[in-house]
Amino acid sequence: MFDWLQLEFMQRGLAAGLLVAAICPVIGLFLVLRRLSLIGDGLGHIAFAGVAAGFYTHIYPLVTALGFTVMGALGIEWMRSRQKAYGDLALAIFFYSGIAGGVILSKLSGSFSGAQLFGYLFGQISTVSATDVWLILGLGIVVVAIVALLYKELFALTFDEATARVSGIRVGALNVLLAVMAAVTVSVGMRIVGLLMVAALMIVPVAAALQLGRGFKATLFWSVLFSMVSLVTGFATSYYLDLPPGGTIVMLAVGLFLLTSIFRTAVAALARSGARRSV
Amino acid sequence: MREMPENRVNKVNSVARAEPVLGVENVSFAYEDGAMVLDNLTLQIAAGEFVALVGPNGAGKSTLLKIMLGLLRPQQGRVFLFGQDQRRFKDWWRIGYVPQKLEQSNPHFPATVEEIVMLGRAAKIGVFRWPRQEDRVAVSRALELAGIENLRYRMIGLLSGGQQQRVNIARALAAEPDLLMLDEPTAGVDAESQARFYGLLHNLNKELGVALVFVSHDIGPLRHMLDTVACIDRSLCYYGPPEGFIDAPSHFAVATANSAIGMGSRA
Repeated sequence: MFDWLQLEFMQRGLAAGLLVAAICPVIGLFLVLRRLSLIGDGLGHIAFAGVAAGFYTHIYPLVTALGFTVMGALGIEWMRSRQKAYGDLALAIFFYSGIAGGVILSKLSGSFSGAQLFGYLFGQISTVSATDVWLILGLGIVVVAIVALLYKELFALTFDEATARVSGIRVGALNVLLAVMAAVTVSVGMRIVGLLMVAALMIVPVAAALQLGRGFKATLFWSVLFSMVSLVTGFATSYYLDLPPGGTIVMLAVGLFLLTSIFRTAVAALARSGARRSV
Repeated sequence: MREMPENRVNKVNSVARAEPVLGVENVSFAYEDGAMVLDNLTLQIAAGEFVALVGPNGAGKSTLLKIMLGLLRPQQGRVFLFGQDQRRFKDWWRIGYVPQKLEQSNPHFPATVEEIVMLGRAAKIGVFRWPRQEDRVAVSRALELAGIENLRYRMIGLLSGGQQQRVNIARALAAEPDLLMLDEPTAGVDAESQARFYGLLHNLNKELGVALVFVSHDIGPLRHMLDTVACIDRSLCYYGPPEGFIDAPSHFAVATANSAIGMGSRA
């Protein structure tokens, strides 16, 4: 049953995948509840330009992707804070710039092969290197530590920005920090599920956990658990059925979302029928 | 003017002697379209004072509240909080804010009442720190004061408007503030919840000595609890005891302009 874990590259992939699976929904929860679910998608497209820039400049692509997404996140947050009515417009402009820049830099680099491009777009968990694992571990620890230390401030900002501001919380700085953490999460996640699907790992497990109707901490816990379960089962399934790992992981997360949605609907129906009987 | 009851006279005198918790000095404010909303307004609120901020629609009450809370910067003038210039003020936990209604409009927001009330203590706990036993005790006390201990583990989005408003006040009380600012907190709340809410404010002010700034269209039910009425219409048009305000037809006329304001019975 666990023979897939005998292989060293699979062990590396699982270690990196579990780290990413833990980080993605932690940031995703704040984004979803602030109605910024699509920011992960936008940053994924900017990361594409970053990876292409890495091939063009011969710098490690994860590093250039990190630089591009952090700059993109700062730009999106800057535009969003100044044009409240057109928050999605800021996202769209960066989204298309990322794609266009990525296509141009890919062509200019000359060394960015179709197979490599496919790997970055859709993930290549089984080709994760030891350097990737260490980089993901380092950045993951930083992100989780920041969220743990600023948990109540981030929660206050997410629940009610005006009241958070009144209570002396530095809302502007926290918004920037959250955008930067989203950028870091997208960059570390792209090696596992790909640029086009990394946002799914930030959003779908959170959507599944929200169906359970629990408190904030409990929702955070369930989001991370659903994400990790999707990762492990998706990775193993992809190995045995010879399926693309990124797509399989995301589809299993979507499956968990459907299951929790059905569970929620069933519980609500039972509660309604119980209430009718007691009348 | 009618004579004030003795206990009220004592309170007014003690309020007059108390040091100000909030000072607004020559504040003017205009929005981007250039329309002047506040014009050279000066106002002071003492420790333990219960002030109603009234005025016609568009008179600048909510704008003034936002300026007092630091959400808007006036083009002219200064605001002092507990004797310090607002721009240098750090102890924001000393000020509680109760908005008109819960700002979070998502009915499925995943948070329990206890978690939301704990947010009110965030500034007092401090950055990079986690809640300790004393914070949990303060949250329990705030829930008890607001009369919602039984709702502690309920999801916030599933509560009625009146219950959510009590959560708002519990959140504001969790940090044990010295000054509570309330922005039309009873709008859209049923009469029974309103009466309970006013009773709660009375206890906070009388027993805990919390200074209250209450922005409202209808101060009728509050008039026996108030120390001061501040009537705003771009600038301060009345500042004094509620009895004087009710008995002065001109002030009453200003405050009832636009027909949205009532003072209850004028008995």
